[in-house]
Order: sequence, then C-alpha cells, then structure tokens
Amino acid sequence: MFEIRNIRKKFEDRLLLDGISVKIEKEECVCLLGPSGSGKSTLLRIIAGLEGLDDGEIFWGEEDLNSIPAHKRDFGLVFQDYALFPHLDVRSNIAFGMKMKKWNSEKINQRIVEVLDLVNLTGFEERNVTDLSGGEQQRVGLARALAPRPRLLMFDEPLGALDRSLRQELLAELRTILSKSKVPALYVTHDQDEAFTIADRILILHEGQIVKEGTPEELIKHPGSAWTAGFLGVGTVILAKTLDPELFETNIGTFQIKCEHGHRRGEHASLLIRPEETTDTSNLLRGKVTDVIFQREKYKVFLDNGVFIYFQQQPVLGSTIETRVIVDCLGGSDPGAVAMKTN
Amino acid sequence: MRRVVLWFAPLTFFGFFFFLPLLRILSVTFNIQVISNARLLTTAEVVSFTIYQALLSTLLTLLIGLPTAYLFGRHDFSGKSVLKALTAVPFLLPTVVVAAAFNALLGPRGWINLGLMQLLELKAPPINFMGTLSAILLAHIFYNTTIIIRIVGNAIANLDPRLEQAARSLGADARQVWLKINFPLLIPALLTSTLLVFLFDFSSFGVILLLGGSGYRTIEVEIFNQAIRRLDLSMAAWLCLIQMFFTVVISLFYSKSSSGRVTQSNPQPVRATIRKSRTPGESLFLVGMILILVTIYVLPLAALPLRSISRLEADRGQRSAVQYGLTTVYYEELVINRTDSLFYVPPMQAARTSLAYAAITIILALGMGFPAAAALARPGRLEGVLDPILVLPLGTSSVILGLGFIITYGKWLASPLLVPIAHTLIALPFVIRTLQPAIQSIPDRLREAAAVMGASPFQVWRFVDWPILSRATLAAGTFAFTVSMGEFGAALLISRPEFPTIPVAIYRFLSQPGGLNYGQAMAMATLLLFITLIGILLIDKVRLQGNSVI
Repeated sequence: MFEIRNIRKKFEDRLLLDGISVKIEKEECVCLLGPSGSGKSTLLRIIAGLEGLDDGEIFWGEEDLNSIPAHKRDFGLVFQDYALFPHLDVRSNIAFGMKMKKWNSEKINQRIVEVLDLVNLTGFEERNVTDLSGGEQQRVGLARALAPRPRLLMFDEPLGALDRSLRQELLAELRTILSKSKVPALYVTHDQDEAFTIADRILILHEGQIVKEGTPEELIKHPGSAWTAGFLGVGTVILAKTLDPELFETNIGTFQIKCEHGHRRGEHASLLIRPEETTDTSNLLRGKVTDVIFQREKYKVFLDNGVFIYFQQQPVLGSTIETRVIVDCLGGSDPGAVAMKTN
Repeated sequence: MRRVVLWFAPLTFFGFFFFLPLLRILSVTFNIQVISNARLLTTAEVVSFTIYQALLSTLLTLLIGLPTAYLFGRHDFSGKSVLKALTAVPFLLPTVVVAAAFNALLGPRGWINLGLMQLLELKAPPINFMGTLSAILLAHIFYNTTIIIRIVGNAIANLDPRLEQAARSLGADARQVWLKINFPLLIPALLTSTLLVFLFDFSSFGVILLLGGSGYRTIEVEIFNQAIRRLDLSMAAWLCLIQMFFTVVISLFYSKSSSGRVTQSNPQPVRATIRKSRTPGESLFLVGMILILVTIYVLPLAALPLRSISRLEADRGQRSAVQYGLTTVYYEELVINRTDSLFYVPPMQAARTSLAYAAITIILALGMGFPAAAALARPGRLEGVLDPILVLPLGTSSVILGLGFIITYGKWLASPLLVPIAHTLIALPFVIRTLQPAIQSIPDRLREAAAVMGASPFQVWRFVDWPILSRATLAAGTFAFTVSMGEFGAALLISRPEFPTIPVAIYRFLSQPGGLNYGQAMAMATLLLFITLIGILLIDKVRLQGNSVI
C-alpha cells in the first residue's frame, strides 16, 4: 500500500538521500536505522510532505502523493521533542487532528478516552501539557498522532529525549500499542536496541542509501558488508586472502570457513569474526588482552590484534589467550574491512 | 566594600532631585483650593485627546509594524540587517531632530511642498502638514515601529517550526496553522509591544509640541503650557498627578504582560524558519514592504541634512531674487551674532551651553553610576529593592521632572547645575546598565591572581580593572553625553532663557518666520543628528558585547 521509489534529496551540494526505496504492504513496523545526520529525519519530512524532494515518487496504493500538500496526506507524525501545542491542554492537543477531519464531538470525545487508555494516560484530559514529565509528554504526542486514525504512522527518533530506563519502558509499550492499533509504522532511529526491539523489518541507511534490509534476525546472521557488521557491532571485520574456496589467510591466522561465494584463489575477501565464545569450530584465535570492559552478563575483551571477544570469565590484563571463534565470510573485499595489525 | 557607602551618593542624589521634587508636586496639588469646573473641563479635554491620539498612533504603528515584523521574522533578503538598523535609528534620536526632519520633508518650506510649488507653479504650499494630527501620528509611527518589529519579529522567528509541522501533519492548512497555533503563541509578544508603544505615545511630548503646534494638547504639553505660559503651577502639578497615574497603570499592565506565560520554545536555529521568498506573491509583499519602509525612514532622515545645505528661497529683504543651489550659508550664520530679537541667542552659544551641560552630566552620571553599578554587580537583597528605583526617572516624563525642579528649587533656577542634574537622572539608568556588566565581568579570581603575584591594590586596579572598565566607561560617558545633548523636555522647562541648549534653540528657530531662521534650525538639527549617530555608533562599538541595555 505504501511505497517510495528512488527518493533523492540534496542538502547544500551534498547528496543526502541517494535513491531510497521502501515498500510497506501490511500492518508492520518498518524501521529505518542509520547514524546521526544520515538524513533519516529529512526522509520522514519528505514523506510527510513537509519538505520537498529533488527526485523520486511517493505512492499510497495507486495514488501519487507528490502533489498532495502535507495536511491532506493523512500520515501521523511523532516527534523526538514531542512538539505538543503548549497553549492547549492534553484533550485539545489530542483532539486537534480529529477537529481538522471535522469529526463530530461525540466521536472525538470517545476517541480521546480510547486513545488515552491505549497510552496508559487515562484521566489526563484536563492536564496542562507543560506540566507533564518527558515520558508523559511523549505518550500524549503518540496519542495525538494516533487519534485521527492515520493510514501511516511515522516516528522520528521518539525516544531520544528520554533517559534510559524510561526509554526501555516506553519501547515495550510502543510495541504493544502498535500491534493493537494495526496501523503500518515507519520508525526512524539511530539506536539499534530500539530498532531490534520494535521492528518487524529493518532498513539500514548509510551515506544516503539503503545498504541492507531484513528482519532483525537476518541482519545479525548475514550483515552483508563490513560497514553494516561494524555498525551493528556483530563482530570484528578483517581482510583476508583466499587460499582455497574454504580456506582464508589473514595476518592473524588462517581460518576455515563454509563459504558459498565461490572465491578464487588469491582473491580478497572480508571475514567477520563473531565475538561469542564457541566450541564448535576449529578456528583458533590468539592474542594479548589489552582491555576488558564489564558488560553485566559478559566481559568485552579487546585483543592487541584489534579483535574483540565476549567472555564469561574475566581474563587477566596483558595475558595471552587462545580461543575458538566463529568466522563468517561476508563476501568480496570491502572498503570497510581492515587488515589487522600483528605484534 | 560596604554597601551603604556605595549607595550613599546615588541615593542622596535621588532623594534630593527625584523624590523630593515629586513630593513637592503632590503637596502643591493638594493646595488647590478649588477644583473649578473650568479646570476639570480642561483636564477632561486634555486627557481624552491624549488617549485618542495614543490609541490612533498605536493602531497605525501596528498597521505598519505587524507586516514588517512578519517580514523580518520569516523572510531573508539582501539588505535586511541594514533595513532593520534603519528602523531603529529614530528611536534614539532627539525629538527636535525628528521634528526638524519631518519639517524638512513635509513642512511649508520642506522638499515636497517647495517641489510641488515649483512643479505646479503654485503660490502657496499645497500640503498642510505641520500642525496637523497627521504629523503627530506619522512621527509616532516613525519612532515606535521598531518596537513592534523587534519584539513581535523576534517572537515570530522563534516560533518552534516543529509545532507548525505537527499541526500540518494533523491536517491543518496554512490558515489554520496561523489561526490556531502561531497566533495564540504570539499573543504575549503582541500584548507587550502594543502596551509599550501605547505608553510611549501616551507620554509623548516633543513630537506633539513641535509637530502639532498650539492646536493639540496632550497632558504633557498642557503641563508645559500651564507651568511656563500661564504660570499656573498648581494646575500643572494636578496634571502631573493625572499623568503619573496613567503611566503607572499602563506600566503595570505592561509588566504583567511581559512576565506572562513563557511558552516552551525549543531553541531551533533561526535559520529553520527564515527563508528567501518563494512565490511571486511573497516577492511582491517583500518589495512592497521594503518600499514603504524606505519611504518612511529614509526620506525624512535624508531630507534634513539635504535641506540644511540647500538654498531654496529668497534671502531676507530680497524677495524677488530667488536663488537655488547648495549652500553653506546656514552653517555660517550659526556663528554670526545677529541681534534682532530680545530673546535671540547666537547659536554657537547654545552649542557651548549644551556642551557644558553635557560635560557636567557626564561627570555626575559617572560619579553616581559607578558606585551604584559596583553595588549592583554583586547584588544582595538591598539591590533587589534599589534597582527598580533607579529606573523610575525613565518612566517619569521629563516635563514632570522639570516642573518638580521649578517648584522645589525655584530659588536656584539661575544655577547652571539644574539642567545637568535633570539630565543625569535620565541618563543614570543607561550609565548603570552599561557599567554593571563590565564590573560583573571581572571575576575576583583575576584580582586575587594579580595580588598573589605581587601587585599592590592600585596596581591591581590599574592592570586588571581599568583595562576592562575603560571601554565601558567610554561607552557610559558617551551615553550620558548623547542623552544630555538631545534632551528637550526638561531643558525647555528649566533652562534659563538666555542659556538655551541646542534642542531648545532649534525649537526657537523653528518658531520664528523667515528662511534664514528656518535654515539655521535645519543646520543645527543636522549637526545634532550627526552627533547622535556618532554617539550611537560609538556606544555600540565600545560596549561590552552580548548585553543589551534596558
């Protein structure tokens, strides 16, 4: 039902968005994940009709939305800093969209109660929005966007202004709310935990392009490129030379990998060294411990060759360790891969 | 430093020269035996006209000011900062200069009239401007539009664009966005600026006197009339009371509105909402507004200096020989001593008087201002009470101040100190507000560091305090100078007839017939214009950045 094709947008001589295409065909939550400044917010504003595009198309079903002004697109928008109308109370804020759609007041009042219940703010109608806490304000923002039953709901880093525990709490609630509301959602963020918690599908945005698309599980299993693997933190990426279709030489060791890319001898490849401890491979890694970071259920251990591994037990700083590692092949040589240093 | 010592001089000064005169005015008022019907009638007439002209002026100012505020708040165009500065210039000009400028443009001997007479071969000036209500209204617009532009314009520029975006995403078109979101959020700024403009229009003196002529009397003008022309001091004092009452009421409304609800404004870069014009309609609006603004602001300001160097009519005694051309004769005349009138004073003497008064003002203002600023730099509870007191003279009309002086110090009217003292009262808030940030900006640690490294107290002052304070002192002194040179109301009331200041001399020249007198008025006003402009520039350049005065 919703589709954007090849969106291009320039920003001060730089190509911010370089051919973005997204399709949403059912009530799912699609997440656009990318580092700060990658144009995610701009894309949302373009879709909402608040900003123009330089090239590309926006479709809802068969309808081309490009010529349709923002206030007629029926897309809900939830902002990072809430953007609640300070001169209106909670009720009037939520009622705004429905008033614009000219619903009758009985319907409006009914929906206000409904929607406040959904966001766990029952009874907040008369409150002043400026008196509310951050979490409460964001819920009102969500209620306001949901109330007029938009055909698409867009989130622009909605949890960015909240502290960590509040973020986690609200994130869980959002999941429930979205599945209850049965409205397709486009969720934009730079926070991976958010994306992985809430999304049915994730699109990774890098330098103006979608570099990888898939469910959270697929992304972890097959990051697809050195940059994505690094961005998602799934492991360390290194450069390797093919000796054999299943044997690769690097400057920290030789690894045996099941790879279906069909590399020829001498060809360069990118390998992903996963940080999880394992016993079921024969690949050995050796290195000296340079740093250990406590991460609650595990220790993140950095070795002098640049690789990091998760350990259950705390190793001694400066000791040399040897461990088995899972190594995957990411494909051909990738500008993001680096040759590891040796000591 | 003991606080009491610091406050002693300024407070004594205030006590004698502000509060005492005001109290005397009160007591004189209560000595009115009978509030006669005639007096009540005059009071009613005068009050109603004051309110009427203030309302009308405010409305017209809003008419010009609001579109301009929108223009500056939402659009970007080349020359924007120049235009914005231009609209602020009148606010700081002495009223005599403004009156002279409008006279030079629209008076019977002004550019437009003479031009039309020449073009259409008329015998008499076709446009009757001086002495009309339009002149008053126009001058008020000229003066006060900048208030609307700055207060409302800033508020518009600071509107959080995300609110507008949220509203649009919820289905509001442009009209609804303005009606339901932007406008309600702008109400505080609208209220504040309107009240301020109304306050200034209500208390306007020089403009009414000089441009309205004898036909129009506001409360302030009537105070002057009663005190100086009719010598009815008790009536004048009674009117003072009325004026103070209204001023206090309006000021109360004003401070209530300006401390009102602070709307949540996320500090987005202003760039977000300001943009170049996008549609032909917008460009038309842009060009139209710029033209209007240039007409209102540039024409009068340019007319004045130009008129002072143009000979456009016959010399005295040579009615048939009209000469046209540029001339410096009016400036030359300023130095010549022609003793035609009993009350005539050579202009150069007026200049000397003004300069002498200004010099005394600088000394007094700095002398009072420094200790007060030093005390305010480290404010305690005492300062919380005293600070607003220091600003009071600004809200009190100079005519009232002058009257208070006459009543209280009538015996000493001959003293040359009275005018500078009045000027000091007016200049003091500006001086203090200029010195205080500078004093505050010197952290104690600097002094301590210098002392630890072996500097004696004098050396500490010389090497730490003075370099920072010298600039502020220069700015504060210039402020005092500029205020004194341009002050009209108090000087008119209390300066001795033989020793007028420049503004008073200009006023006299303008009231006398003859091209030569007129030209000299123009010349003096042009000089005062440039002195003021230089003062403004100097103050802005030298003052500590980042602090706005008042």
